[in-house]
Amino acid sequence: MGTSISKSLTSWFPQKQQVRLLILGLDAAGKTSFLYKLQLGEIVTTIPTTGFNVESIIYKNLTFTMWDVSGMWGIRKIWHHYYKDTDGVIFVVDSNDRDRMTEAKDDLHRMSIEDDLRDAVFLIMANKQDIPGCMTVLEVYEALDLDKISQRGRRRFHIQPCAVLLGQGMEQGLEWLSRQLVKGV
Amino acid sequence: MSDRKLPLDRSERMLNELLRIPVNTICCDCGEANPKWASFNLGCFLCVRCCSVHRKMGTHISKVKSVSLDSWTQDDIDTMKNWGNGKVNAKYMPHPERHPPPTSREGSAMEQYIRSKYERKEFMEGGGNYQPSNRSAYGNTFSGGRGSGHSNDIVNTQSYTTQISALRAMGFTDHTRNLQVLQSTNGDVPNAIEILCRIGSGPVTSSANLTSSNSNRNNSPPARSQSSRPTTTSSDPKETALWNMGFHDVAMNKEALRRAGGNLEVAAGILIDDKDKLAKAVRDKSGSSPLPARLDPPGNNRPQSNQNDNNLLLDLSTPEDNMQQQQQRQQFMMQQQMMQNQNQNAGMDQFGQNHNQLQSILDKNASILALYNNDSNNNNNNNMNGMNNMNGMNNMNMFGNNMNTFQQQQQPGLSGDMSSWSMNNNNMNGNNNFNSAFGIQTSMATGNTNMFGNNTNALGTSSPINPFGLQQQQSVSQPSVGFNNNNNNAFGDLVTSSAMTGNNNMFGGLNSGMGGSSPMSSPFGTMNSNMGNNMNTSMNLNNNVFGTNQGMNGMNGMNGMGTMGNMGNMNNNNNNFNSAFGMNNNRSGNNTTPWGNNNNNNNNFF
Repeated sequence: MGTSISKSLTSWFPQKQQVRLLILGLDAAGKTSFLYKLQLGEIVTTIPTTGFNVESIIYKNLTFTMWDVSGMWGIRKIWHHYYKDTDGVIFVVDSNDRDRMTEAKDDLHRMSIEDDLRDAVFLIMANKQDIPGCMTVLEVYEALDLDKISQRGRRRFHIQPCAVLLGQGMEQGLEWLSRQLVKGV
Repeated sequence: MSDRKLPLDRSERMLNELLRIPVNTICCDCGEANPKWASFNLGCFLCVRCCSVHRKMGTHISKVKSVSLDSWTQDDIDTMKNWGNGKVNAKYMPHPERHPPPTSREGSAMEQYIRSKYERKEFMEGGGNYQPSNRSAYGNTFSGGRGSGHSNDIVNTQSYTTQISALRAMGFTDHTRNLQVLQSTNGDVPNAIEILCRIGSGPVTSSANLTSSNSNRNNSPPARSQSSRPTTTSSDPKETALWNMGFHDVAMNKEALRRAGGNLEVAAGILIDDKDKLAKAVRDKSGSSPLPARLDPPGNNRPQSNQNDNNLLLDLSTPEDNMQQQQQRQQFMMQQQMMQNQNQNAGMDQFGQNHNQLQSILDKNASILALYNNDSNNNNNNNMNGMNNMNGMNNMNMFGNNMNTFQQQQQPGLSGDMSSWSMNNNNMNGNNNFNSAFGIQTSMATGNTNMFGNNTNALGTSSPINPFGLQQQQSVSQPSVGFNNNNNNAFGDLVTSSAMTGNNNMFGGLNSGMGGSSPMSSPFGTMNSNMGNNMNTSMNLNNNVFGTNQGMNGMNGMNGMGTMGNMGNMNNNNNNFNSAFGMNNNRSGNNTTPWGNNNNNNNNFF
């Protein structure tokens, strides 16, 4: 009986659409902080991720399954194992790390031509906007050469400045994602 | 010297060698054995926990890498070799006995310890005199009183009382956030302002010094100005206001004010109209050449005069009836549109450096309706101008980097006129926003049916004294529309009313957006940002915010697919901008883009 109740409840309340998201980016960009800020609503002091973290986050009528994969140099090479069936990529960039923007750009562009990600939307989070003197979102846009990405295909992407530590800008990013990913819209 | 990455095994081998040096066998900060991480700009080896704190401080303090999982360049390894834990500690903590690491290696105690050591450099000789990177010249006004509060996690309001009240005076009314940001900047107000502006917060006021021009509650304006430029220290609020309008020649400002009998608007008019005469007068007086009248931002060429310049001068100073004015304006719009298109085709660079002046007179009685002075860094000015023309009022532009002067005066009686514009406006949210932004005294537009109309309304009452609409308080918001009154925000003070409407208020968050870039430059910069905020739009775009972003809009238009967000609450600012700036033209017709509908409208419009 328990089963039938739960069944009827499920049919009554349609299941949330499942969305698979990858959180990628260079190491120390703030991926894990981003994930746990969303999940727990608080800042955890994260140690460098060497494997991955995965959490489910319910946002509106979507269930985001977010894979936060290590961004360490040695591990970026295996990112592609996570690409399959990914609906969206959240690419976190440290706006304060000018020196490695090029590196981030290369990774992003490499991803953008991956066949497995051809239908994925890209949300670029220009993180750490709370650090004085960091690059503005425009500068990040240019540094990542997002123009080129958009020209290359019909890729939908969005660059969103944010400050994970302060919890700013994240909601807007998710909002954009949810708009892009809701079925039938 | 090599920035070529070494093979992993090779770099690891070299680093492991370094790790065998006794002093490197323990973590530089906590003393844990076998550090596997390293800060390659500082040159020390760290355990994973301390490494996480280093990462948290940001790459401007410390850049960390894993010894085994990251790629290293020869340069990085050389740094490690040259420094090492011993030298790093000798530099940052010459007296380790005085600064034992906290007993608890977890949590915030260790974080504070590490921040004290590297970020605030409190353990160094003569320590504690940490000066945060003093990027902005408006700096030192508040930099005293960092006080005891160097803790990020202890919420101690007391330690930042001065700073918080300063922020509040500038229009950042979100106490919690102010506190949070102050903690993260260790009480450094200029940095806090920049952050608040960047991330969106309470309304950014046009800047405190504007407020000071008609109220005495803040007599020491922390003038926003570019870093290379001294703030005006003038005790005369009117001079400060002129400065904020973008007139950076103090001598000329004084002279203009003198001639204007102290009337700010007139002085601004003089500065615009009779610049040459004025310069001569000042030169004669002082014997030195005060030109150029306005300092150009460093690194910028004096703006090339571009074909738009002349066109932008819309001087309707001779009395004419409104109808005629309107026709002229309309014509002007057409021209403008063409120009915009040209520019867009030509590419973003084109927008680079224009010197635009727009002076238009909406009302017979008003001497100056809109004065738009753009010096600058901006990318997009051209577009903007476009808009300005349309509205006749605004000006915006805001873009962060520019020094914009905007002075607008309008008689309440004009509302009829405005509404006619408002028809156009639907799309043009931008405009409305702008107005608000500047708060200039536009009274109009209450009755607009159009959604954006609301924004316009936002403007407050006119205050002759202060062109910038410090007084604009009242936003008339029509909640049903769904668009917020963006305006209010702009000027912090005003904000209240808008917030009350319950709409999104855009201001808070939004302002900031703009502010991001603006604090350095133009007083209006901040305001600009506001403009963009429509909450509800279905579109994603956004750029609102920062002057810089506008640039982006341009790009977005071209791309058709990308969007930018602002930090503020509302992403969807595009509409405003676009319309306003007419940047969207490229996109028109592109329904597949998120911008779809609005854009199309815009196009038509422009």
